[in-house]
Amino acid sequence: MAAVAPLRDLSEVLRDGMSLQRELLASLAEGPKTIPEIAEVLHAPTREVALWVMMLRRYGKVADLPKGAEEEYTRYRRVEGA
Amino acid sequence: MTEGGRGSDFDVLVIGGGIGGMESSLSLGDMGFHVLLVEKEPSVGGKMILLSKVFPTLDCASCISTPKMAGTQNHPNVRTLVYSEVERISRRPEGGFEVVVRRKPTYVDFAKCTGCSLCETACTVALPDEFNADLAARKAAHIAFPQAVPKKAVITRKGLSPCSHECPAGVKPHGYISLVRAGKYDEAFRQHLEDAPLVGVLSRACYAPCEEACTRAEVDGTVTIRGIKRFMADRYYAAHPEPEYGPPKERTGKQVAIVGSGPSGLTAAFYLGREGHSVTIFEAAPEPGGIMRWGIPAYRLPREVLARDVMNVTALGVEIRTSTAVRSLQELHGYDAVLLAVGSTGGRKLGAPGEEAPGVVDAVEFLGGVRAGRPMDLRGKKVVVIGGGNVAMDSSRSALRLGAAKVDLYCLESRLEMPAHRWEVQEAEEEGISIHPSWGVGKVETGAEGRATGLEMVRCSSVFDAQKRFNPTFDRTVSERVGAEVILLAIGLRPQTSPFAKELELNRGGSVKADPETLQTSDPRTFSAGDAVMGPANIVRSIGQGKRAAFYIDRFLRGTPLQGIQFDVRMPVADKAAVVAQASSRPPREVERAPVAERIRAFAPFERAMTEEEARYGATRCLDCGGCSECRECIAACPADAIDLHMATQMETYKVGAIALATGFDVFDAQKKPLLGFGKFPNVITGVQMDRILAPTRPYNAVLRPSDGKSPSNIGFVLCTGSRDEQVGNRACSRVCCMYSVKQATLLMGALPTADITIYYTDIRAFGKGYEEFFQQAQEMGVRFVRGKVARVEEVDHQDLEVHYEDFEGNGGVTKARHDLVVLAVGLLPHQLPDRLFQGERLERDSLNYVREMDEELDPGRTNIDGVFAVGAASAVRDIPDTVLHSGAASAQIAAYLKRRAEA
Ligand SMILES: Cc1cc2nc3c(=O)[nH]c(=O)nc-3n(C[C@H](O)[C@H](O)[C@H](O)COP(=O)(O)OP(=O)(O)OC[C@H]3O[C@@H](n4cnc5c(N)ncnc54)[C@H](O)[C@@H]3O)c2cc1C
Ligand code: SF4
Ligand code: SF4
Ligand code: SF4
Repeated sequence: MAAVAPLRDLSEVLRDGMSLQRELLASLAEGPKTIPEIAEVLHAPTREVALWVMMLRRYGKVADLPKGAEEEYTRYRRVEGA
Repeated sequence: MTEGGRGSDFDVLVIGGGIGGMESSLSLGDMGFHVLLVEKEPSVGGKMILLSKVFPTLDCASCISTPKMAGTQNHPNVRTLVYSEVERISRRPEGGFEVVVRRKPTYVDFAKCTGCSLCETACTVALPDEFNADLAARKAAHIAFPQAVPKKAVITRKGLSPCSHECPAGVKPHGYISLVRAGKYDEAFRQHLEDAPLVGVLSRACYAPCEEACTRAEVDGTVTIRGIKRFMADRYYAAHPEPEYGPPKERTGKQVAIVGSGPSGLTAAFYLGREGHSVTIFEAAPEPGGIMRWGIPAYRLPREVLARDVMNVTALGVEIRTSTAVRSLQELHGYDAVLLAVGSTGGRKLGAPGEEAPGVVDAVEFLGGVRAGRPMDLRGKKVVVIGGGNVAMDSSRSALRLGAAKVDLYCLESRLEMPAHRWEVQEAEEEGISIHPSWGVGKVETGAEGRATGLEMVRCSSVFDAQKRFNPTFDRTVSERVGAEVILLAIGLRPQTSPFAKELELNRGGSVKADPETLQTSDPRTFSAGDAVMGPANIVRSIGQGKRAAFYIDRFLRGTPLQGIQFDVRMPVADKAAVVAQASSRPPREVERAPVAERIRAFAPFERAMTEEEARYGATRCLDCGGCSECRECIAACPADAIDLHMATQMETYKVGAIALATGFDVFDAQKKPLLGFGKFPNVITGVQMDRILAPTRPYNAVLRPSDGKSPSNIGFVLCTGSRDEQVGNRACSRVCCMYSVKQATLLMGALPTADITIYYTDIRAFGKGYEEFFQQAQEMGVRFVRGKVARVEEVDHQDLEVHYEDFEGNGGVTKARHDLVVLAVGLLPHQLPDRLFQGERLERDSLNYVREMDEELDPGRTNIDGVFAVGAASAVRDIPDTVLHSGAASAQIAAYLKRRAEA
């Protein structure tokens, strides 16, 4: 089994989220994206991006689009004015 | 009705506001008893309000809880104290108990807060959300969860962050760093301006004690606090050549005279000006700034930066009369108050023969000449600087920049004792200055025309005596001759107080005698601040004194007493060890500097400003030591003016007749089973987390897995995690894990109709009413039950998981299965009450460490302590129906007890 890097401390990931929220919102400028798609733009692990997206969602800066039953991932869009 | 209380404030104290505590409070309240309910979290509701649905009926947990929560809060006989903890309970001789309750500061005035959440949105500090079982973020300012009762915000403050705690001026580095991190640069500047007006000066010339205190230094190097400040100050000043405000409209009609425009005088003027007093600063020099203008070399503090800072003060209508020396307090008789902020810039004498010779120059005068544009001509000269402090460093480095051929610095102190900062000494040496520690001046040698030609230096054996007083001793048998054309004396400074010696009490060294708290002098109308009081200190300490003086002068002018009120009371410093553990390595990026050869050619600043990217990188290194950063964004956002960061803990004492312990249970920490991968693999979660994911107020928009937001399609449940397990010291069956897992599996079948769901179990305990049917129903819906013991969970590709288990059925043996999400059904543990909660009495525990009920069948809830009852999950593992039943029974016991006492 390949060695797994330990998960980065949650508090540290969230601190980074406060800094990266602008880049994250900018990554949604061209249109809605899934978490893996955002992670690719930000060059960040998907687990961390998931935490940041959920934080922005909680505070009304991103919203989710309806997801079809066949789709694996939700797409998130930037909320106008956020 | 206070029957059983007899002289008590309340008949019953209920500790814990979960479903058990609420039930008991409501039933006792309905019976007419007066109840005090104490809950440690910011809301009542306990664990139940955070659940999805309840087994076996699948009723919505919050639909059942919310009316009870509101009922408790509004019941006329129940007083609820949230965010409070019972510290001590002692028996009163006359019967009943005395309880001490610690009311934790919420930093929000609940009477004003409307629960609008605007503070949360604005807050710049993100923390793990314990109400979402760490699946998501919340902010330092937060409302616990959407249905919280009371629905009020609280602010997490774990102490003052070390940087902010250390700043003598009360600047809050953590605050502006968190703002810079969030990209709120102008807000960062304004936050600093609130705390000290000389933002530019501090960003260039502060010795930054905050950086020495910074927790990050213990990980991989301090947060570059001053560099970040320079970034935000430079940026703000470039965009705002003038302040954004003018004089305050409301005037007090009071006149204040400030003597001296150094950091303490300017700062006091700023705060007094903001209060609407008319402030006039008298300054002997032709430009304001004191040492900042005439002492600190331009390569450390350019003139324009100071000038812009001064505008922060004058914009308030403060008048600065330059070239106006005040020679007596009499000259200021028309003013209502006076602040002497005259600093400490007088030179000291060596006391060595020859020191009056031409060529021996006071270092402060020398530096003043440079900054006034009249530098000494040192080109090609050999210069000796005497002194080991900051002035000596500035003088020698300035001499070098004026073209001196060679600069030697001699000081009494050994290298380690030198008062200059280590980085300053290092920079000076880099630039080519030779430092000679442990030498004193024997005499100044003079030539034919009486000019200084050199010095005789003698070995200094020690500088301080046993009492740590300055008292140098010399070994005159060791001496050295040094040639010098110019000798700069930087051997200490004297306060400039001589004009006032007859009017005010002074200390021996010439500093003004002032009350250390209020800074009032022997003349009640006159206050004094800065180096005039402290002796030579530094800018940031002087700013702190200027603020302090302004605070007390304002009170003096308003006729309010000065005594009995403290300025700048700080909360204790946050625990560094707790945050160090949260940091992975991320070393600082050094602020770029010009190469030495370029540096020493001119007086231009050689430290380059950080780029935006560098400043943000620097700011993300901050560990948010104290939780809330004091950035004040919430205060700006709150429409109700509800936030008060100065709140403090309150201790309250109540007399009560009886006590109900409804403190519930704790949950097993799944990291104690490391082979199951919780905390290591993002897609291994606990049952508590799964209940949050399924709850209406869930952390995500749907059922998703934490690693990447994918809808899981194949979920495995591992039952009995941390229950019936001697290895982790819990042999009890947790009773609820089977049923809550079956519940979650059933709900997941609804939410993800195509998903495969497997439950690994050793045996299913479905003992309650309707539980067996509930279990069967899940099987019929297609949930797979696999009888087997899970040995370990491993991560495979796509962050999926492989569950390795011993198959008790089928083919037997060890086998494995792949899932994209694994849920560990963690067990329940007895709740740990605070040590020594009961004074002089010991609360008995049963063999599983739950609170012992003396007779479960006949006397439910009664403990070994007379008058103390256990309710709900405090005395045994109980699910919600059992907890509700038990609470009712215990309440009846409590009522009977109170009646008996009333009648006795
Ligand atoms: C994941 C999960 C799912 C569950 N699902 C179900 C379900 O579907 N159906 C069901 O019937 N049961 C379920 N349960 C069990 C149920 O949650 C408990 O039975 C119930 O919450 C017990 O209520 P309580 O009031 O005794 O304790 P709690 O709900 O734990 O409340 C105790 C309260 O006391 C406070 N407190 C503790 N110490 C102090 C102190 N010193 N000072 C002040 N306050 C203090 C706590 O903060 C808490 O608010 C589940 C449990 C878990 C973990
Ligand atoms: S912004 Fe003010 S009123 Fe609104 S929740 Fe926060 S503290 Fe309460
Ligand atoms: S002061 Fe700043 S960090 Fe503290 S709670 Fe308010 S917004 Fe959050
Ligand atoms: S890590 Fe941040 S909050 Fe902590 S002391 Fe350093 S700058 Fe201050």
